Amino acid sequence: MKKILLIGKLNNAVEETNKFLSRYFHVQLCSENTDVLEGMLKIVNPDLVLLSLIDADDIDTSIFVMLNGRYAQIPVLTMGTEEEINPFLPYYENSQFENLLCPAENTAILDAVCAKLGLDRKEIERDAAKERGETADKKRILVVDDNGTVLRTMKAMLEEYYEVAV
Amino acid sequence: MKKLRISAGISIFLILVFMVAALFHPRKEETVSFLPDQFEYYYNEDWKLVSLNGRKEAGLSPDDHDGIVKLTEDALAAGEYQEVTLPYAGKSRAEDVMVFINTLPGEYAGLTLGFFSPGASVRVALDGEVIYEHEPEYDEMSGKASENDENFVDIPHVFGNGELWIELTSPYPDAAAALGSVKIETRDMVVIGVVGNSIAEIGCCLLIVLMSIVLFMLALIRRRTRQPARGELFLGLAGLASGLYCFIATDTLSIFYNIQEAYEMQEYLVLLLPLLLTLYFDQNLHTTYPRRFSVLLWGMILNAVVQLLLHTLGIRNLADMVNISAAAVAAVCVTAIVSLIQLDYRNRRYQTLPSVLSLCILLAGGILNVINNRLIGYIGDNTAGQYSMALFSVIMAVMHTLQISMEYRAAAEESASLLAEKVRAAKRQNMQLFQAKKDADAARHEALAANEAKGKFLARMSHEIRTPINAVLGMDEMILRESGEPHIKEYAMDIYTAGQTLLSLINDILDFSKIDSGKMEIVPVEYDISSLIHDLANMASQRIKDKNVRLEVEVDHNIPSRLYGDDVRIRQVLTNILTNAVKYTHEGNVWLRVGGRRTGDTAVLTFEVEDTGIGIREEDLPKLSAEFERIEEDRNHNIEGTGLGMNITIQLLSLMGSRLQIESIYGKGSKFYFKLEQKIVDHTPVGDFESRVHQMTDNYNYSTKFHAPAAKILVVDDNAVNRKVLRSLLKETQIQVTDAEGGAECLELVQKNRYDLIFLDHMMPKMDGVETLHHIKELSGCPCQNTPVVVLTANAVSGAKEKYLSEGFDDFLSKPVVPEKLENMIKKMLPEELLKEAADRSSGTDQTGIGAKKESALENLPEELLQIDGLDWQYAWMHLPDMELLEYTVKEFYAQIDSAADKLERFYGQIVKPEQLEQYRIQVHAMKGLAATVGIMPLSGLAKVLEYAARDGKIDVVTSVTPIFLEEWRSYRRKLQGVFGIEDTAGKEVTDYSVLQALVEMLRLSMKELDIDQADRLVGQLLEYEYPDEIDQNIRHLAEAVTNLEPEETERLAELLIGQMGRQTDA
Repeated sequence: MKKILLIGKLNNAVEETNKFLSRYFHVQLCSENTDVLEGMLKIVNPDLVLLSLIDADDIDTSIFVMLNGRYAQIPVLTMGTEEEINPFLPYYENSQFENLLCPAENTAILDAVCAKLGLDRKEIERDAAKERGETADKKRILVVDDNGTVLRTMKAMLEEYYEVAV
Repeated sequence: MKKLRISAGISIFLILVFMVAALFHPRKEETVSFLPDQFEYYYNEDWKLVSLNGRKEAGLSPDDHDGIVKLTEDALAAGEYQEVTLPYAGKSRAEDVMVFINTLPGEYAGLTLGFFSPGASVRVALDGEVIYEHEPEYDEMSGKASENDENFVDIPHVFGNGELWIELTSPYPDAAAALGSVKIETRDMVVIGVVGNSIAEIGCCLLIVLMSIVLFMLALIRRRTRQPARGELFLGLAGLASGLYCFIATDTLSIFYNIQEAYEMQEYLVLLLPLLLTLYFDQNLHTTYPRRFSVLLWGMILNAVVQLLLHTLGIRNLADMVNISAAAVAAVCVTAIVSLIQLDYRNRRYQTLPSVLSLCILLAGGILNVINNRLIGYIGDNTAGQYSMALFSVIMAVMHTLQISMEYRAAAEESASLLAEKVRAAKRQNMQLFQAKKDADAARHEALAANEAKGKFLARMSHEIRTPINAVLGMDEMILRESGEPHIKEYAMDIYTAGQTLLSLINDILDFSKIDSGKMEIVPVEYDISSLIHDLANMASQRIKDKNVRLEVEVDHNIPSRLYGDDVRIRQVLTNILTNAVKYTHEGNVWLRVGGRRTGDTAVLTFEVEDTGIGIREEDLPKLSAEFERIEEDRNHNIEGTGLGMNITIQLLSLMGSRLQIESIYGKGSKFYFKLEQKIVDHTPVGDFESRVHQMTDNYNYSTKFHAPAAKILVVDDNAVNRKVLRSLLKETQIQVTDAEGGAECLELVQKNRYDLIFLDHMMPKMDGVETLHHIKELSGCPCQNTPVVVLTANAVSGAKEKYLSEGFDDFLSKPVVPEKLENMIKKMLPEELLKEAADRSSGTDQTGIGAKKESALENLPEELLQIDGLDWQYAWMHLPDMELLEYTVKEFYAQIDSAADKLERFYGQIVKPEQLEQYRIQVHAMKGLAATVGIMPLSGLAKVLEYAARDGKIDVVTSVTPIFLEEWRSYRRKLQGVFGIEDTAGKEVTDYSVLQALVEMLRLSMKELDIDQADRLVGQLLEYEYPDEIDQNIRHLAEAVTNLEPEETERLAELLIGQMGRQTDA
């Protein structure tokens, strides 16, 4: 699976995008903190950086500078309105950066990501469905307890046969 | 001092005695005054005085009245007379005659003429006719006449001119005749006159006497109220004496009786005064000036005694010594004044001023008296003395009254203040009582609340404790499910049993709390009696397996098999009773008897538990039902128990309508039994139950310890730790152990030496155990040709034994090596002559069980060992029951962590085809054993999975699990930090904080989603680095937050750490 680094303010849009794309890719969320981002890039070494500009007032050009300067090999797909991308317009002249106008449907996001990564969307969907099928037989159990040890114990005891959420 | 006062008292007594005696002394003549009734007239004017002084030389005799008349007439004719007013006192010589002449008016006829003529012969003539003559009485001792003569002359009813002549002749030299005031009056008016004449003196006397009475009253008050005496008695007596003295001096007593006796009394009274005054001052000032007043008192006593003596012996008259008494009084006054002034000066209080003043007055009066009598010549005048005495008495009475009132006032004030204090104390006490009541009420509420809280706490705590116990039992269940090794299962069963025991303790507490609060309910259900009895027998068997106690189960075959009742509570009751029976029985038997009787659809079951235990004293039987109370706590302190069980048992039975009966003989055993009515569901009898129980109880055996100092054993294992472990395990047996690190060395040794037994590890590099065995068997002339060889293997699976036996091994021993099994194996393999029984087994049964060994081993497990995640110290201690060995082994393991992991990783990297798994398998097998040896069972389990996967050619399993295994393996590098002083000096240095920031961020996001696995992995990565203290601390907190699954705390710490790390980057 390809790795996507999803950067942005952790709002509903980003979480929903994360949840959707996680079906198809390894998605790592990251806040817009530049220092954290740099480390994240080193660890994750993503195939694509998905940068959400939606309500992300703290994002400034430093991210663009860093991505453009030191990580030019990693394609960057931004999500935002025209107004939101306006301050960063010069960067879009570079082929590294591409914007997906928002609001956008999840499928549109998937299309954009696949296009950016040069992947076949259907193939991606097929692989994802296959993986989901392997785990579909497992019943899902939700364990609710305020005690961390109990949760860990229960998860350890059950996860072999069940999909355990705590 | 006491003697002195007694002497003073005796002196006073003597004076009184003498005084009384003098009163009854016979008189020479009695002079009776007879006075007519008439008014009083003073007759003091117009007197003519003719002094016939110097006529003595002319031979004039006082008896020659005619001669005196003639001479007087001549003198009158010559004008040699003087006109005087009475009273008159003049100087004269002895036998000089003084003639007082006046004319008596006619209206005085029949009246009485009264006048004083102290110490003079008197002749009264009226119109030349002598109508009265009087000679003074002489004191033969002193030779002096009385000076207190009062004359009463009856005037005739008829007289002529009324020329009155009074002739006074001084009977002795150096005295002057004096004529007192002349009065003419009736007899009763004489009294009035006498009184009226002396009214001031009488007043003084009365005043003095009154003050004395006051002082007596004060003395009495002091005595009655137990106040310290201030001498008021003596002062009163002194006042009384002086009052009487003065009263006598007023001649008032002459009305009643012969005043002469009174005068006699007067002389004695004078003696008393200084004594009494001295006693008074002595009482008040003796403590300050003891010597002074002792001397003074002696002086007064001496004065009194001497005067009495002189008077009694006739040497000198008391009257003549009156001045001595006066001087004595003066001495007392002066001494007292000086002392009082000194006292005041010393104390700076000046409280004695009134006393000093009064003494000065008294002294002044005395001095004036002396001056009057001696210098002025008016003998007998005591006016100054009377007045001074009166003043003195008044002042002293007032002073003492004030003093006593002040003292009373002070006492009253003190009493009032004490009362006030008592009232205040009472008020305070009331307040305290009120507060105490309030506190008691509050305490009562608190106690009730505490009781309620206790119940809630018990319930909550038991819940809180149950939670981790459930986790432990849950994981134990996992071990029981997943582990294929019997001894692991056995250990897991022990954990299970211990956990159940703990749970049962908690249940006891909960039950107790429930029963205590009235919330316990009996919930009847259908149950199988055989199942209940089986479980109980099983439980009891488990408990007695380590003891020299036999369980006998006797069940009535006809008991209905299925009943309706609360089997849980019945089980609880019987479990408790059986547990106690087992606990308190050290040898002999425990019987569980179940009998029954049917009555229609009801069965009355009788449950009996009897034992040959320590028994219970009769006086301790009531304690059985008491909460938290245990019997013979001192003796039984090492037998576990909360003291709740029997209390709960009794209450549960009570709820089920039954009652526990107890019979016990101390030192012999006990029997607990009860009856229970249960409804019958299935009448089918249970049948023969005992035989099934016997099978279960025979499953436990015991092994003996031994020594074999002559035996020689060769241990062959490529792992030094394993070799050392085996060597240590055999240490106590005194067996001579040689070890070899591989097959080659083994072969060398067996050719040179003869060994009684060889332990040969199977999995060894270059030449494994099987190959080595074959080589041994092929050696000719080898001393160890017939030596039994036991394979050491971790593969204790079904069929493994047969396989090894087929290879030529004599037996096999699974790893990790259990000491008891090792011993059993050695005992089995070594010749009997080499084995000796151990000397220290003295229980009488020479039986030791696995449990007992385990128990004794676990008892020595040091408390201070750090809790390490995944590391079971007890398990490690089981196999390494020696601190030194344990430490060595752990350190060896730690030292091998990286090399072993690197080696496995290398082999892992070389895997392309299934055929290349062998080296990998061997390595992971070795790591499995290593991990198990130090008690890291999860790791060992994981290694086992990999080993089997490698053995079976399951590359995908190897591929997917190896990274996890290696990560977990390497994590012990960190986890074992601090154990036995292990420190990781090779902690990773942070070169790029941005990476760590990213890790923290990822961790934060993982925890937000509760992606535990990801979070744990990230924490592990973070913990591999070395940080500055502040960051290090927060990292550890973060790890804890992740362990405890606390997303909010993780969020907080993550933000903090990202900031701190950012600053580090900037720095």
